[in-house]
Amino acid sequence: MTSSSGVPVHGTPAEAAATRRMLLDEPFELKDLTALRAAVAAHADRTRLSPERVADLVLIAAELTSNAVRHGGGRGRLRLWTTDSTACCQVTDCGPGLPATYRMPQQAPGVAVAGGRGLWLVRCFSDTVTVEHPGRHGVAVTAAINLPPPLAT
Amino acid sequence: MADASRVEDLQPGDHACLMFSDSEERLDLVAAFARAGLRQGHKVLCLTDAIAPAELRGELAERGLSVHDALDSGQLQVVGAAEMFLTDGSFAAAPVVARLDRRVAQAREAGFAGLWVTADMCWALRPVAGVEELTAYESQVTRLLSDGRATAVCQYDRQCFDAVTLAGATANHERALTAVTYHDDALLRICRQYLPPGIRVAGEIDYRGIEPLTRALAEALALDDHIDVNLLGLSFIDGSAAGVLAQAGAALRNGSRMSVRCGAQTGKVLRALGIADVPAVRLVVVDDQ
Repeated sequence: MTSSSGVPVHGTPAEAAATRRMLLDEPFELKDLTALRAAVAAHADRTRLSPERVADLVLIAAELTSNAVRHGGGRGRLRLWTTDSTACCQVTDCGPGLPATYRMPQQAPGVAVAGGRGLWLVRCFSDTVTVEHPGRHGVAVTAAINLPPPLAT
Repeated sequence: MADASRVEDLQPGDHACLMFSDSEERLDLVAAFARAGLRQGHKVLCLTDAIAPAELRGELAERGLSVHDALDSGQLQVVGAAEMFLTDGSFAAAPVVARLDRRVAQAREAGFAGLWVTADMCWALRPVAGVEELTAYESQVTRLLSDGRATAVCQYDRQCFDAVTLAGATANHERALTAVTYHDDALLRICRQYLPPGIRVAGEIDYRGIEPLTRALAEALALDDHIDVNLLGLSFIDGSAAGVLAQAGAALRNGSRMSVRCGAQTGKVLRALGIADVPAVRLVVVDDQ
């Protein structure tokens, strides 16, 4: 599903983007990739995500940002926010975008195949993925992980 | 000046220093040294300080050495470094060199080809009287070894010793023992692992580390049929780097095998890429928490 309108291509969003709390909103290029992983980990650590899911979100952010650097024009913008029920990571780039017929991979690429693993891992490690083409150039991929319910006090 | 050498390059009479920055790397090299000495029919004496003798015996056994047999036969001895280096808590070059000379003679009398000795030098970091004689001691050891009856490797921790001591120590050894390294910077280290044979990857690896990772895997597989890919020190792996491991596993032929040891998150990434389904690959996930 393509989704210039922001239709999810994997999973069902838990809710509309109502109550966003922005944690990180930064442009990046090649030299920033490592520091961004650490920044995502530090911010995600302060949400309700378990350490295991924090590591998943770091992997998602790493795959999306390195995709932007390698295939999406060399740079992009990373946004990290939470809603009441999700932690979201969005990466926009200024590359050629994804073809209109693009589908998220439905199964793991063969072990002997070179490449194509990034978006598969993003799909595996997130609960929903949305692909948008916000302008004439580039693509915006948003991956969300559901937060565990808040602890009753 | 010391040349960079591998354990397999050591010759009788060599006086080498082992500069390390990671204790696993040190233990690997000590195990490789002990194995080479035992195989060549020498008596092997391991002097340990950072860890207790019992712990070192365990580490050597874990790296595939027949520690019990070698200890029983008297070919291997693992003792505290203080026994050799310190007299009433202080250090003096002459008595230590004399003690070492006696050990060499005893090894020969017991029928061994010679003595292979390796010493953890971190006792010299403590406030020990006489430690200023260390440089003199190292040059006397070089002379003692020159007749080829013994081979010595002194272990210096790069992180702990000051630059002057390290420079002095290096100048008095004709070889510097190092692990074969494919990549080494603040973020990522990829090196040969001696025992079990394979590679060790530590730190964080993403697509920028693919080239040295591919090279390290290819060389390890050229040397051994069954390699151990030690990822226990890895805190991050991306899909591209994990893909290199999956591809290497899928390409194994003629009975070659690969064991991959890693923590939970790396294991999760590798599993998502299907590496656990490759028959020639054994994935061992060690719970890190």
